[in-house]
Amino acid sequence: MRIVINGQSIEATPDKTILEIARENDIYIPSLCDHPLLEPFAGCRLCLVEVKGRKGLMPSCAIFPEEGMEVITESPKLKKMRRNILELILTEHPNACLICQEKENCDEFKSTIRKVGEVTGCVLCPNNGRCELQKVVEYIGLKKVSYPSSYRNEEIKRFDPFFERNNNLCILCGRCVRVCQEVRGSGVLTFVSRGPETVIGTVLDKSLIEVGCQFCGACVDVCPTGALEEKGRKYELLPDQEIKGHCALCGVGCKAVYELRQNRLIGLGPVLDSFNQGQFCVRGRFVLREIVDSSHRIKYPYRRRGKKLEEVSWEEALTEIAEVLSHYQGEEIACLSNPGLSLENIFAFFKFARDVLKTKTVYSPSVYSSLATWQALGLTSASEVLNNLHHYKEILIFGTDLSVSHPVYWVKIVQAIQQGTSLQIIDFFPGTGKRWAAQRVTLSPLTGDYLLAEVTYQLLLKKRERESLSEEEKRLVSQLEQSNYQENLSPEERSTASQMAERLVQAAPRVFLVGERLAVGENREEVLKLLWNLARLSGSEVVVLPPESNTQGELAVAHSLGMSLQPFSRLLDFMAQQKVKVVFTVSGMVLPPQFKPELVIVLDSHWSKTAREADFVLPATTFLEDEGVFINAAARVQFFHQILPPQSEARPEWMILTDLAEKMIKTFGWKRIAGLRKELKQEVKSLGKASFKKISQGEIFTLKRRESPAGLLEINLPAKPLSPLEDQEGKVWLVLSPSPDQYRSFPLSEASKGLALFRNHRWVYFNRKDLDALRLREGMEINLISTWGKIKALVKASPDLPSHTAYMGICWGEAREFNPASWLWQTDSMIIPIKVKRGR
Amino acid sequence: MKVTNIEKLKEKILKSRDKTKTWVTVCGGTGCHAYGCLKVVRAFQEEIKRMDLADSVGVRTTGCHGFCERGPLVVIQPEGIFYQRVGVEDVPDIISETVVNKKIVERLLYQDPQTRQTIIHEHDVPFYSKQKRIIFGNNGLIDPTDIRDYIAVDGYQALSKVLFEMTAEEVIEEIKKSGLRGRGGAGFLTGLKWEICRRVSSPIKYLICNADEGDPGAYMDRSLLEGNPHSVIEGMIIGAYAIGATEGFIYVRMEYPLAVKNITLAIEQAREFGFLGKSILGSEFSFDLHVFKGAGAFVSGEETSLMASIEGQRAFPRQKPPFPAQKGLWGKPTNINNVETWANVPLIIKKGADWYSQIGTRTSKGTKIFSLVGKINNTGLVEVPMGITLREIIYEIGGGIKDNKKFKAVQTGGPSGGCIPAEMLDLPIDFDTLTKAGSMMGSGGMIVMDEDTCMVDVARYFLQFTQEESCGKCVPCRLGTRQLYEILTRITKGEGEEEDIKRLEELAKTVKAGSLCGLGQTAPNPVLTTLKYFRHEYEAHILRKECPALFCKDLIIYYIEPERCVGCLLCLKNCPVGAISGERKKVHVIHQELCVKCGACYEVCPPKVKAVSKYTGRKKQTILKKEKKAKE
Repeated sequence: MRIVINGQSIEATPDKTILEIARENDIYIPSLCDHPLLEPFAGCRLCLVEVKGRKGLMPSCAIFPEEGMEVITESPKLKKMRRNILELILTEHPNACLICQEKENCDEFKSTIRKVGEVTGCVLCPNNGRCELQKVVEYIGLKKVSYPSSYRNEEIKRFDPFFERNNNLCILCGRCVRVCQEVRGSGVLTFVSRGPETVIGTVLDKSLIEVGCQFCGACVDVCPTGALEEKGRKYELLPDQEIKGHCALCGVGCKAVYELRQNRLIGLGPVLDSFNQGQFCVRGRFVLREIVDSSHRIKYPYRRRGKKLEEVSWEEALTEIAEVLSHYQGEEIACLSNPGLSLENIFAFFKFARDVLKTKTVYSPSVYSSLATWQALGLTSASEVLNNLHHYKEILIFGTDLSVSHPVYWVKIVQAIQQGTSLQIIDFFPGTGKRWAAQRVTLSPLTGDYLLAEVTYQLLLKKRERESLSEEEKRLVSQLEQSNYQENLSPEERSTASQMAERLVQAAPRVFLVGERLAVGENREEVLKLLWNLARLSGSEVVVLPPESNTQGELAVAHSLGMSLQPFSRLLDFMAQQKVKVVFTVSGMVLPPQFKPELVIVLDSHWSKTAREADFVLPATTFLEDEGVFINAAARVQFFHQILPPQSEARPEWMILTDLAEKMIKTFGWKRIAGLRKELKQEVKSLGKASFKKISQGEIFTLKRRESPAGLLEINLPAKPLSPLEDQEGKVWLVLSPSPDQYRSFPLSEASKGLALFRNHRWVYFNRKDLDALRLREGMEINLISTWGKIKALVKASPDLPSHTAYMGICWGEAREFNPASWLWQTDSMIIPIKVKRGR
Repeated sequence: MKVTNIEKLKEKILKSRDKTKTWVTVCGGTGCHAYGCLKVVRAFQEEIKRMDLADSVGVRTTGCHGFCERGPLVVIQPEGIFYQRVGVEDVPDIISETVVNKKIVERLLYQDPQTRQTIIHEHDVPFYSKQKRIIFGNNGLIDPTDIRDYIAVDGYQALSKVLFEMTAEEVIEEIKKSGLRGRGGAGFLTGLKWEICRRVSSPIKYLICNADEGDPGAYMDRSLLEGNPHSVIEGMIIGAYAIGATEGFIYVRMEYPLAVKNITLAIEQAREFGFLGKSILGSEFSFDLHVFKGAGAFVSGEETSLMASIEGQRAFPRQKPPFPAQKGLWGKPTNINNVETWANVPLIIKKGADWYSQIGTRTSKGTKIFSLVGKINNTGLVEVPMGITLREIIYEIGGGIKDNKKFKAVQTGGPSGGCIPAEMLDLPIDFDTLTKAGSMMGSGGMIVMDEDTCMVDVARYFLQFTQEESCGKCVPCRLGTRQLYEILTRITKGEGEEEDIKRLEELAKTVKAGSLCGLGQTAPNPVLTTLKYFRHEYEAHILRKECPALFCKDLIIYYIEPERCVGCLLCLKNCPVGAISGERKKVHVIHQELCVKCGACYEVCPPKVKAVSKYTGRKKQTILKKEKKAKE
């Protein structure tokens, strides 16, 4: 259709507001409350326009075009109106600088430090130069405010981590409230009071942590003024450089824009025009900056001299390492890899292990991921559907709190739910997203496989009522009937299973998202097989989510190079046989106490206990200081540009390994990364036709899904469930799963005090009843004792956890005395019977 | 019991009733509640029991009769004997004299303050005789907690007619023909509103009754819900049938506990009788109603914020279009009407659009209930035909101004309305004339002001209300009303500047044109109308620092006229701050620097003496100067 704006005929579509259409055609209309991500609000009233034939003035952000509509955006009347409204806004907002006569001189010559308690003018405001209100004042050309100021004079709320809330700068555009509710589905921020007393706040004025804020920072990103300001950003000036890149702190791989000043990272934010649509999470938005510029970084090469590590030059370090390494070969050297590295560096490391160190085995946390097991079963994940979650009428999330593990996919799910999709959460640990679920199934980690088997059985029965079953389906029925799993289920569990089956038997576009928390015990494979069968029987897609930024990549590289990825328990067997003498690791992966290798070489970006006890420590770059390729959860090949110069003497792994090989007089390595990439593409067949150059220029490339060969899989349920530990005092089952809050096994909350306040990797969760029975209180330090030793942890209550079960997330690189991962060298199961003892 | 034939039911109810029985009806409206009518009811019950008259005499607590000034009201039916200001001590007399001996208790009769005549029957009381109580009339006859009473006065017959004799289109046509306009304020044609909503096709449509009456001094919707809830329910079911709605909500504020109680009970009873729920009266039509209690924000009366509130969100209005008929409650087509509008519907159906449209003016049909409050003799609820003049309402029904003072202005439409001056007393009232005068019908509040009222202060009072009740969403309303309020406050304090009038006018225009919803768009009306009709008062405050009505504390002084003071010590004793000095039989003096202007001396000075005066402006200055000189 065509409409007329200011006499200019313009082509318009009915789904866009007049404000959007005007902006697209370079017609500026001032506005402060409108935001592309949000529903029209029409609160600031600056975007009022005249529409011919309509009574009064209309806010252009909330009206849609109609054929032949005539809009006027500039007239003396509108000008007067906008000026008057802006004056009113400025009665609440500090305005001295905006209308000061010395403004121009001040802007040019007077710089300022912002260590002030109260912002009274732009020069003291953290948002100076980035403020939308400033721009509107400039456009309207306001020079005077004819009303007395009514400054709110509220105390600045500084008690929450990451950002502070200064209501004195707030213009009540409501963007923060709306983004929190409409986009993130959290609703922790709200309008409080009414009339001129109205402010943005939380329920009962509690702190954000108390009201369950996840600190995704979306509110800070949409705030047009300095009312919501990132704490660390406050004293920085404007960036001199902005570079687009990605975040590699989980499997989503969000697009980000990095703000630099004099080659230092001063801030970053999500990109609006991208897959993540301007959304981020606490890891990317706030923690990333804290861990990149952190005292935990390894900055120089080190060598052990007695009890001390001493700083040495690269030359010295590499020469010495080459020398000692030459005494060992093959299986004597345990290579520990990590899925947090770029594809190039993983490739370099694997190849170094294979060709230089002559070993065929690499140990990696990825082995424990559901995805690895899934692939080992010969199954494929429908990863690419993550880009189109809103196409599905039903989404089932198995065993993960998506809002923590893959936050931006969670945002997509919230959007899908608002459009009518229904969500089921099948998990034992209550996540923050539970209130969005139409149905929640609490799966006991002990009997989860039986419950899923029962769902399968009920589904088959219901199917049989409608149609005749195929041969393999019949086989599955008889198989399930023969195993006596049913006696291990309670009547409630059976009715839950029946309800689930009832929903699954209805045909609907449906997708299963599978996380890490479900398949944790020895029955890992059975659970995943059951899920596969359920998906086949109900016609659903299955996506198995990778726990880390490049799990997909690591698995692909290992597969292509013919290397076998092994769990740490395997290493212990070798240790027992005195076969392993050297550890060569690219992460701070914890080593068990009884393991005393002759030589430990750590190549990492952050300090860990393992690094501190190592013989050689080499500083590696983070993904921001090196360019590289990552494969995200949706099987997208993403190119991460280099954003920062390397910290001190840090170098990318591929370079270090090339230099080391040279010292060992081996033909290995690459002069330039292009060479490495060429080889990578030849070796890793699944990359297919991907062109790194094009991807680096913004092309979207998704790995092709392999055909899934399998039909229904045979199920071998264990005859007996893990026995409940009810009679034994102080004994519970501890369920472990990898924490999403780590970067190449470095626990993020180690470097981020803010994160530790609401998601601490040292927390062990109990339900309240168990807490009382064990006479524990929240925040208490306790000892968890298993057959393989004890660790310390902090008590945290979680209301809906099944009884006699505790839950803990693992950061692989956490110090040994806090890290349950050290037990995983002795068992493959992540369900471990422990005894709880009060600490100290 | 599911009813299928309403006519038969009515006959059955009437037959079961003893026609010879005398009924003592006691008004149970909010006003009379405050006067303690419940005690009177209990006294009647006990007295009847004591006298062993239970077979021949019954007590009925009814809804509001409207004449709140004179409560508690008691009417003896069927004779219609009208007693006013009845206390518990009067009960034995009424029973023994009037009920048993059929004699009148003279002292409880109403005396016309103008003619000094005592009046026996309710319908002869001038307050009632000038009204046309077609909506409100049944309030005094029925017990709102008993659905049978409503059915006995032809209740639910309109519903039966609609369900079995009319199509939905015919119903809408009838309402359109009647010319009924929404009683909530804006006065949109009800029939047209229904038609628009009917045309939108959707399997789910909602109906809402807006009972979030929040204007200061207005309580007619409350009285209807309290006194005749079934008329509202019947109207809503008819509306639902016409529009094709499946579910309805009555949004009533929490501060109206009796209304909540009565409407909830009425819905239960209607459901029990089969007027609500599945297949109403045995027809194929189904509809159900729920009561939703609002937390009492004024803005919730705005339809879009009312819907947000029902949805469980903060009561924020949103930009229209889309209108509720297109996208309303939970995104479904929704029709919202005010309590009084719904109560009009059964009447129109029952008596026909032709009958209805005879009442009123060319553009505004039917009657309107006003709550008449302020400086008026007969405070209460009055129902008058559209087109009646202000003079008739104020002087004939309202009995004139209190204490025979001079009438100054009347504020209609609550905080959204405006002040109409004495010159316009002969204005025939309807939707359009009021709008033209710069005010509005609103929901029907009518606040009468006398010569002692300062118009600047009136504007300030209403702006204080609207600025506090602004939801905070849009800038012009949230901050514009505050600035208006602050400028007005400044003026009443004598700190006004010359540009303030211009500033007020400009700001008022911005707020009116720039605000998102009706609250902000009408909030400046009190300022604009007082500026229009009483500009001289503003100028007096600003230029001469005087308050012509002698009201604004900061602009007046209290002064004891030496030549009149008899030295009785009364004012001296009553002054809370000890600002008066003097001795018995000697002239008292007010020490201006200590005086807090509470007016206690003015109140207590005996009317015969009248020695305390209020002064403003130049006279105030002269006195102050004189006093200063005397001190020196």
